[in-house]
Amino acid sequence: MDFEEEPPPKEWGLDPFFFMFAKLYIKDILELKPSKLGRKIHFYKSHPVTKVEILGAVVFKQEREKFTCYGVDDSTGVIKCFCWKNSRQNKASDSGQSIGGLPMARQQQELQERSTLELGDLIRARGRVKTYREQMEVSAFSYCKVDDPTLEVQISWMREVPRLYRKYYDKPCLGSSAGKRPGDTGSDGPLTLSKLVALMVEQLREFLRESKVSTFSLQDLETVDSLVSVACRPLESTPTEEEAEIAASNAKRVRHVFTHAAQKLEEEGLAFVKKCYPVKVYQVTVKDQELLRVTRQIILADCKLPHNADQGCHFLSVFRSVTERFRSVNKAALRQVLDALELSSDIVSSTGSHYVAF
Amino acid sequence: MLPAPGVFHFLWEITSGAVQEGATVRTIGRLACYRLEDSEVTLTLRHGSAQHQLVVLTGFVEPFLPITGALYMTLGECESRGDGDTVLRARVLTCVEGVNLPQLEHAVSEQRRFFQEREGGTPTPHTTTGGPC
Repeated sequence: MDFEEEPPPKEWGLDPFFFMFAKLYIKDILELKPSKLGRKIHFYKSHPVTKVEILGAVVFKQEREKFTCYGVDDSTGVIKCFCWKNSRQNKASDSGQSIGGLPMARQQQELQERSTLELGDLIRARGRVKTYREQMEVSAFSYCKVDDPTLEVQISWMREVPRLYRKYYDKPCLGSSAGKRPGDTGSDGPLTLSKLVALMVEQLREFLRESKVSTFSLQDLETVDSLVSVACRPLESTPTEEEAEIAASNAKRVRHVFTHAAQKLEEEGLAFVKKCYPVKVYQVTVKDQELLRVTRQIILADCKLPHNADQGCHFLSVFRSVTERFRSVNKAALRQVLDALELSSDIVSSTGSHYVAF
Repeated sequence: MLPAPGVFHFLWEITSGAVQEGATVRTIGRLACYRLEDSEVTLTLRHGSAQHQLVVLTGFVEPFLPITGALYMTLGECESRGDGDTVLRARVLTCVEGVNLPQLEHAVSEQRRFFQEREGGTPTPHTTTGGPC
């Protein structure tokens, strides 16, 4: 599955990668792609990477006044890791008093020994990735020398990282659109008519949510290019004769897909049939202001009845009253209405099935 | 400016010529003998019924504490000597006596299998020879 496309910035925070220190191979860190929107964010496949954790041998060392640059080799690649000196050493000198009874100079010396690495030492560093002169580098927030005389740490790293890649890194983030794109039927297998209908239901849901459309007919849907292009997708498998017949004609396929998708939305309560003649017109449930107003009035009136004083009125009694006015509203649609009213704080649900209005 | 990454190879892979000259490798072996005057160490490792050995030039990593019979991990470049043998010019040499060799072999194979899967796109049968780690 190709999910290499960069997700939009509003979805970056949904991916745990954005916040964690990713244990990527150095080869993959060196090949991270900068975001099209800026060079501070990089991407591994569709995951936004800001911070990494690396474990490897020091094969290069460059000492400067304020930092030491170590070349870290984990057998897949070598990357420069900048370890800043000041914050670690100044902490001991700024404390003003010796800790643990040791003299200050000895403490500083110990701190320095722990933070100074030589060629061949094993280093574990966590830091931010950045680009400098087209080369990826790591600017360490924290680093330490790892004592690994029996290679246990390196062996467990070698076993852990492929598992992380297989389980998380090489898969798209579940919450993002990279995980479920319009072109993706979501599972293996050829595109059948029923899968196409399911795809259309999703597309319609999104379309109705984002557009200002309040009522629609099937003919109206056929004027929306984005929806028609999805409906016209060629089917890869038509197991029944009936499906094959429908797939053979573009117009039949489009009509079939839209009809069934609209019916599914009706079952889910996102739309209900407003009128049937001359043309079937659907109303988007939560955009029908009249329905919302009437429902609220019904609940308000019912709540004044003595037997509803404690908990409010029950869902079923509201449903009975609403369907006297709006015959085609089903229970799922009424649930949508009640949720919308609750969101705007017009009513409150006292229990799972009782409502109170103000 | 930075050196090439040291890909892990088993001793028998280096001596059999599976590694190119000039390649940077990481390997492990037991210290059999240390010739101070030539700055050379011979590392050996048993694989199956054969005992494999590799000469390692230690000019860059001296002085170090040589413990005969102990396991050492080394990282360096492969060079070809006049007589056709491969030697390793070590940049890093550390004693790792106590390491669980079968566990290390297994971990290296697992990592290699993962890389082969990534490159090939499909899982390949488990193998301990050939290919970078």
